[in-house]
Amino acid sequence: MMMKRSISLRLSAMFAAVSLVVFTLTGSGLFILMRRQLFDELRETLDTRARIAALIVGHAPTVQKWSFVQEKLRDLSPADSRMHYFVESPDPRFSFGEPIVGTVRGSVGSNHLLMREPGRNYDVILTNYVVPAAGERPQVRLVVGTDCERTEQMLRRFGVALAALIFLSTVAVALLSRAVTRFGLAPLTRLSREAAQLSPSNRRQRLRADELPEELHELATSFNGALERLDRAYERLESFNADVAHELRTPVSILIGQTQVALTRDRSMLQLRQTLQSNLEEFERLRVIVNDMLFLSRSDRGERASDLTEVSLRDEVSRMLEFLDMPLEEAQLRVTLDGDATACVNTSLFGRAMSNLLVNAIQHSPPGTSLQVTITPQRGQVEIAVSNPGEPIDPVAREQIFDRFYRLQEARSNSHENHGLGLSIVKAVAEMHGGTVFVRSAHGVNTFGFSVAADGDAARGPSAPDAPRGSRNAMPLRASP
Amino acid sequence: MKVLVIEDERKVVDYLRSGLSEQGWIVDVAMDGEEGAWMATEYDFDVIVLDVMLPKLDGFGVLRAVRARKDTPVIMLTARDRVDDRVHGLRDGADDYLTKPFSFLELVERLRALTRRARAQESTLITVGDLQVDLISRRAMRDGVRLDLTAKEFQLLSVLARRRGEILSKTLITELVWDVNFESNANVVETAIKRLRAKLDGPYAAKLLHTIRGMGYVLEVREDGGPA
Repeated sequence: MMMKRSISLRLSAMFAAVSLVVFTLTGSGLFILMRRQLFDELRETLDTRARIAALIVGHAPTVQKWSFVQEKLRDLSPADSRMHYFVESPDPRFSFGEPIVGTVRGSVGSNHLLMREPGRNYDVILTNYVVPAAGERPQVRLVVGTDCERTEQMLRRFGVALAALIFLSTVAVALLSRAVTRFGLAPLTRLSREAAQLSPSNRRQRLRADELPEELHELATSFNGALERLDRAYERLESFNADVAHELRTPVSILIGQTQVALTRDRSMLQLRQTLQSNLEEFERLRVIVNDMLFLSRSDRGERASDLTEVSLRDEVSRMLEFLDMPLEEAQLRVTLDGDATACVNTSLFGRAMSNLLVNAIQHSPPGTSLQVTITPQRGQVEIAVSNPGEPIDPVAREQIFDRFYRLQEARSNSHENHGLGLSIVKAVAEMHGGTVFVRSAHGVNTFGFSVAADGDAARGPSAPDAPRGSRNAMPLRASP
Repeated sequence: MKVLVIEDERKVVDYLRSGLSEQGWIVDVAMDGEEGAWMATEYDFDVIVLDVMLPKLDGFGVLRAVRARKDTPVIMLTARDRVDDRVHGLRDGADDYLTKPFSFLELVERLRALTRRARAQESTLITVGDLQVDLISRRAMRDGVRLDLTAKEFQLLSVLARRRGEILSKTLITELVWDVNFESNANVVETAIKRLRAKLDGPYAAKLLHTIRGMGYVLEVREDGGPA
């Protein structure tokens, strides 16, 4: 993916575009105003001249006086011939000047005409006066014109200057805004520099969100939140790796040791068989750990349970109680089962979690006491709790009790049978069903439990696999084949 | 019964070959996907054991090639315990799968199920030494004396008796007796075996129920008759 152009570049381009528009509008307004002003002035001058000329013409009723008129009018026409006087008369003795020939380009006001002479690139403004007859002079028409060459030239220059100014200002705005946005975005640059310095070797490091403007504060805070979560996950992974290594070390060292011992001397068939059998037991233990770890890693990846069926959880719990009937009897424990609810669960996973919870309770209950299993539906979830009398569990331990390889001190002695993943599997199963786990300890009763989403919607996986052929094989998601 | 093992790990191939041969299977081996696909389509097998990770052509490719021509039951061995793999495989027509690491006994069990191989003569009255198990009247007699068994104990005994001489893993027993198809850390099977043994073998010199350490349990008459 192409990277988006820099914010400061985009901002300054936008500023430049906006100022170009604003400058152009202002410049155009200025130009129009200027033009109107100049032409008004021109027309006023023209009108004054025309009135004077009309007065002069009006005061010449005779041919002798007309020669004065001609002289006067000639005097009034300046050398650069910007003003034109033309008197049109039926009597050729009372005429003056040449008629202005050209195409009419429009009118200005009521009595001004715009005309362009051929071969000129500017207009001429004309005005008309009819001077009534007096004495021997007939009625004549006085035409006074002024050409707009200078005005138009001035306007052209003004326009060019204006355009140049607009262009230069736009460039200046672009350059300045680039500097300004850079300055404005300095906190962002600092933030990214800070983020670039974050390194895995110093995981406690965070962005200094407090020093940032409010727009960035939120970003930095959520970024820090993400770092925090990553950090926790990383920490868990680290301790998990250590635990795994520790857990595997025992069977592996037993295997190496006893195999070496067996091979150092000639052994009888029986001795070799015993070594192999002992090896097999260790291998089995390794296999169970590996399979459980694989199972847990699937739930870590957020996998949801599939093959859900709507069942009565009481029936499922009863099934597990029946399964554990003999161990319960051996431990001299009674069980009561309360409540019922239906939920969509993967019965194999649910049974596994249930059996793990019960086994945990069996291991930690004094003989002759009784366990209580309670099924409580609540707000879209169903809670399954197993209570047993036992030593209070301190709050710190309660937080970690569902962690992998966590064992209460008393349980560590028989770690050979109990690899410490039982309760974390309960947690994984709960999470795969959109639920969670909990532990309570009060009044000499410890309660471990988990919940599942009742409708199974939250737990439904992205794809429900087709049932395999043959009913014997219908055990997908088998926890530890 | 002929089985084709398509697997590239030499050690796995070796133990599967000798183990399955001893169980009476005729074992053919292909060490890569292409060879496997060729053998599976060219010859007739009763069942195919197919690894997912294979050189040249992976297990899914082999499966597709086989399914294009044949309906031989296939059991897939997958190292990755991912649902994707499973869905992938089952959709392409695998009949079953096992996740590595798997137990040999379990593989044998699955192969039997897939080929529906006839078990030891299924009758309603099974005799093992001086033990008689009547599946209809749900009674067990030893040396003419009726054994006082609970329902579960009888069920356990009948499962063992039906497959007398076969080593049954704890997993399989759990499944057949309690219909529980996950591995439990509860010592349910051990307890049940202990109780059954007390009633079955306790008073008798000749022991019938033997523990095979690390593997499971077997019901059979042994020459030495002593405890296993």
